[in-house]
Amino acid sequence: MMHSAILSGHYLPNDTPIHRLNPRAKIISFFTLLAVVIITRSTVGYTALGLLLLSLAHLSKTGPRIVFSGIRRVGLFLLLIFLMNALFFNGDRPLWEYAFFHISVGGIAQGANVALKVIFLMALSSILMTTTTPMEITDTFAWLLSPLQRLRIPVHDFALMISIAIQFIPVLAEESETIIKAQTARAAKLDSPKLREKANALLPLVLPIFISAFRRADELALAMEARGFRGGKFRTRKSSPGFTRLDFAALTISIAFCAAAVILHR
Amino acid sequence: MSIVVENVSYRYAAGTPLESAALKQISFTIQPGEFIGILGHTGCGKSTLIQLIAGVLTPATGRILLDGKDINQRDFKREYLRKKVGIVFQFPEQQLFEMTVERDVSFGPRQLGLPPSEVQARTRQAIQSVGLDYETVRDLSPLTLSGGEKRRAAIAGILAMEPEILILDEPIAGLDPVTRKDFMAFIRRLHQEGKTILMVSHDIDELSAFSSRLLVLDHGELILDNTPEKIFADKARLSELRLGVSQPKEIVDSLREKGIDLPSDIFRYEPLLTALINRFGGQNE
Ligand SMILES: Nc1ncnc2c1ncn2[C@@H]1O[C@H](COP(=O)(O)OP(=O)(O)O)[C@@H](O)[C@H]1O
Ligand SMILES: [Mg+2]
Repeated sequence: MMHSAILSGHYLPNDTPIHRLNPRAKIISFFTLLAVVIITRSTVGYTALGLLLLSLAHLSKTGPRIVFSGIRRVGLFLLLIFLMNALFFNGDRPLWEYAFFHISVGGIAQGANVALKVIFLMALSSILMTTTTPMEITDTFAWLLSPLQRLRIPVHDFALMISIAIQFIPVLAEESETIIKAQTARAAKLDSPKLREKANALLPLVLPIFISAFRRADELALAMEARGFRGGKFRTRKSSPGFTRLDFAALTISIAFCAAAVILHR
Repeated sequence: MSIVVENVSYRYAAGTPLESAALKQISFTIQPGEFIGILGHTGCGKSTLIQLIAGVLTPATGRILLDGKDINQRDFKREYLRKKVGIVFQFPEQQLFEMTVERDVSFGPRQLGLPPSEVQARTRQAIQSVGLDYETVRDLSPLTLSGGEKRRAAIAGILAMEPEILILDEPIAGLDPVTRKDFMAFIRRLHQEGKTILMVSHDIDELSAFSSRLLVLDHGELILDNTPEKIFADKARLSELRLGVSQPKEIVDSLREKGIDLPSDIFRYEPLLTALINRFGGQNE
């Protein structure tokens, strides 16, 4: 229940092939597979991707429970996407029509297509986040973006922002959990089935969480200034260990998937 | 109003690589009118235990009975639990959210569906009882209060629900020494007015000054459950658990070592003072 919220997107230390991947190889593979998710439209494509994700979840010892835990929380949103497409998309092979509603095989397929893409995107990100430390992610982003520095884009400031944001996720999640518990103890009705009460119940949670997030941001900014932070001097670890056979295997598999997806869906 | 904790265990992040057993097979009973102190090293499971008792966490195994009824049964009325058992979390000032102190303190009573006149009477009484002036603070934003005042306001929000059992998680942590003393006096008054108190604290002095019973946790297990006299009698055991004894007890022990004969079961300041006066004679005015 409450704790699954914390765990999706939280680094889980472990020693698995996915954890051992060079972060650069891992994040390039991640983006390549992200492209595959976006390109894929067919049943064959989704089946292959699904199998790949399940094996990654297994290999990384993340387990399907955590990989898919984030998805439960956006269940309503997914259903909405599906229904919108199923009801309004003017697809082929209509089954039923009334005013501006069209239910068609094409529309249902389109709805399932979009919902599946969201599910796969979330699963892929949660595998990356549970197997890679925030530091590794930041460094790699800075490395990937470094060509932009020529254009006078403050890449390192962005990298620092990402890093701080990622590192604060568990802290804020923990704080949110405490606030949820504290307000429950004050008899806040969080699980009321009535929509109006549900909306009212959010205020006691959202406000303290925001207040504490702003307070933290403020304190952090002060602390950084006090320690002489002036921006633009954030250093990443320049040297990264070389690629191993495992890294090449990961890159090959993800690029192969991408190529197959491009050919299949041309 | 008794609470029975029966073979309760709890694990965080069950089913993941981060899984950890926070509590193992805890059993004890809280009788009405007790003042129970909970001691233990950081991370031993104190907060987890009291959150289970307040019903904001659900035990993995075992039961928690309020007047004989399992609070985690489906047919158990949650609102009944909220009315009877109040919990003040660590740093409760972080849960304030309403526009005014009055609105915030009255949040709990309003949620319980009490009539408006009752809500207002309770709010006023709760704010006064924590030592804030109702007329002064009622329309202020809780965020403009000082740190100590914020904590008072947050505690008032729990007291306004008029729980019979009050659970406090490190209520004096992070307060200055004078405010701490005020707070402890206040908690003692609540106890004298008839509330059952369950209090977690790092401060052995403050805890032993008022508790009739101490629970000592270590690595998720309930190691000791006894009166402060009995627990402080075994110093070696306490230092194994990385805990000390109260200051007065420390003083009595060192005086006894120096050959000054004092009763060894003293652990509070007043009896120490009386014993010293008896031993050496006081100045008569
Ligand atoms: N939300 C949580 N998720 C995972 N582990 C937790 C969480 N809260 C506490 N723990 C762990 O459970 C154990 C007991 O914690 P806690 O009850 O907070 O101890 P205490 O209050 O005595 O310091 C600790 O080892 C802590 O790391
Ligand atoms: Mg604690």
